[in-house]
Amino acid sequence: MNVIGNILSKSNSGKLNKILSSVGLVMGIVLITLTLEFYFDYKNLTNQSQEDALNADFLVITKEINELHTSGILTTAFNDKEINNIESKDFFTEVKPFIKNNYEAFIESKNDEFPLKFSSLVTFEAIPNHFIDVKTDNWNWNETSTYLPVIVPRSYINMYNFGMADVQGLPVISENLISNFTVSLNIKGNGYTQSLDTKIVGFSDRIQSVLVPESFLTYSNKKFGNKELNKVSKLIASSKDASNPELAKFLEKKGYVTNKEMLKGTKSNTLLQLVFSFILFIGLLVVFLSILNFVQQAQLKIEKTSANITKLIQIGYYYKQLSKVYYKKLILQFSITLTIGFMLALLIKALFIIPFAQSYLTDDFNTYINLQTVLFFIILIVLISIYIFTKINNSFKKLAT
Amino acid sequence: MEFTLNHIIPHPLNDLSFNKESVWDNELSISSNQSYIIKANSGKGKSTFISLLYGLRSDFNGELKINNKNSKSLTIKEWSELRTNKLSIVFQDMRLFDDLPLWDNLMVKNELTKHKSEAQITEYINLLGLDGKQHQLCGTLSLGQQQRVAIIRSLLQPFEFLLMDEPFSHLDETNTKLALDIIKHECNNQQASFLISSLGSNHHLTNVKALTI
Repeated sequence: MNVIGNILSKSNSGKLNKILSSVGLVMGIVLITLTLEFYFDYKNLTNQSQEDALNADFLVITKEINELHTSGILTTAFNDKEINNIESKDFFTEVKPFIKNNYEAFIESKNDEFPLKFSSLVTFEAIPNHFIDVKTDNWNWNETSTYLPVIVPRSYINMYNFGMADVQGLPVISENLISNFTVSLNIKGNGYTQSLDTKIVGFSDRIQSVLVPESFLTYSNKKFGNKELNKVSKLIASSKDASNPELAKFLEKKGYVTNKEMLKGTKSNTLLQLVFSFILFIGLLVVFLSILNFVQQAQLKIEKTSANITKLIQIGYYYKQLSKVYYKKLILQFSITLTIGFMLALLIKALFIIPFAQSYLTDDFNTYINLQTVLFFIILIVLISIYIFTKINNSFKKLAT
Repeated sequence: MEFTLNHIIPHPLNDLSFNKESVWDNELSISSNQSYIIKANSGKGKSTFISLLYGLRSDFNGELKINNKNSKSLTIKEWSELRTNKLSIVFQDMRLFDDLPLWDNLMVKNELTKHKSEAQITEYINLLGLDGKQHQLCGTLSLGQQQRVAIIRSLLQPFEFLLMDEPFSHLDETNTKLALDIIKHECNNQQASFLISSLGSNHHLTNVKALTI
């Protein structure tokens, strides 16, 4: 095919154009690769932090209270249909109700060790253990247990130490110390009364309720409880991505409220996705225009050598034998350019972005190439090769007919 | 190989009337076990006729069958296979690559067909008096020399039928005879025949059937 190669490459025009197209293609690929790498690194980082962070994956859902709830026209409780509807949404992985005590409960400080004498009516709740962010071996209860373990929100002890203790001149207490105190819990209902010792076994950042083991609430509600009060007004849900804009939209539409802090990423996430999409679009546009220019240059070259191509076809060459020489060369040229762009982008990431991110953002910043970027790159090569193949083949076919 | 012509009239000749012996608007069979000559003055349609048989033109009424297959239904690939293995041609205007050397002009065909060895090609070059011109660009050769290159090129493939459109118009008697001897020899070897168009001379050909245009 040497002679054929000579005949087909007789026209050597548009070298500057070819260089400009190559530069454009490299720039476009750098832009696309870096954008994709940024995007997937960001996703990995946020997913990872959501798994690690105490609050990230869990939402406590309640109904928004308005005047109609206050006047008793609407109820704050979720019915089965509403719960099923929430459960059916893909952005939730699991939804469970908070079980609460439906009997009267009263606590009082038990001994003189405790710096503050107090007594109060209380309400407590239970949720499945895997939703609780406190891991302790003491989190179980049965009727023979010597005390009832309790988990309280960390904000309670903060409120005491940095509020009440300051104002009233009381001593501050550490979490370890408070765990040693015993508080008396008196419960009554259905003609029964019972007194139990309770101990705080942990502090939760996630749940803003006093928690007791499910087994205790099941037992006590059955014995002391009023079934009519057995309503679900609070749900706990886990989500793979609490910053999913669809999730926020759903809650808003249904009039549900949740711990807003968890959803704060939603808007910035959407904005970031928009920016990523825009840059990706610009990158793809630059690549597409460069490829278009490449192909048009090739078509111009075919046009300039059309007399020779026609002669070759007339002496017996099949047009695909000829177009193969052309598109093979072109696909090779563009693949090399594309690979240079890809490598350049990875070099920029390795030399500038990774060190920067590790210094200023997190040590866990991804230092590998994201598989999705590589896949995107391969798909891009395949699609562009098909485009070049089709265009060049058609140009030759026109000359053969 | 057989061409069957059924009342073929090229579009530019639509309004003309033709005599009974004419290849136009007639029923005719051209077979590869017979060689043919078409003698006519310029402008009578000799090149058109050869172009139709070679598939370069399809602007005609009537039906042309090649080996019992309608020529208009042949695919690009089928035409390419025909032109590589069964049907060869010497164009009136040679259609050589002016900016390629003589040798490359021949190799361009032989690379496709792998029909002759380099020694055989060199022998043809020498026989037709082109030795020493192998590296000369074809565009710088005389028309007579170019015609001889075109003739050699047409022989660098297997064929059953060789079409030649005024192949000796720029050759003297001696070179015409030399070229014809080589062509006849190649046809004998391949058990092929030829169809030659000429302005008037029958080039001392015997055993060829004359066609009227």
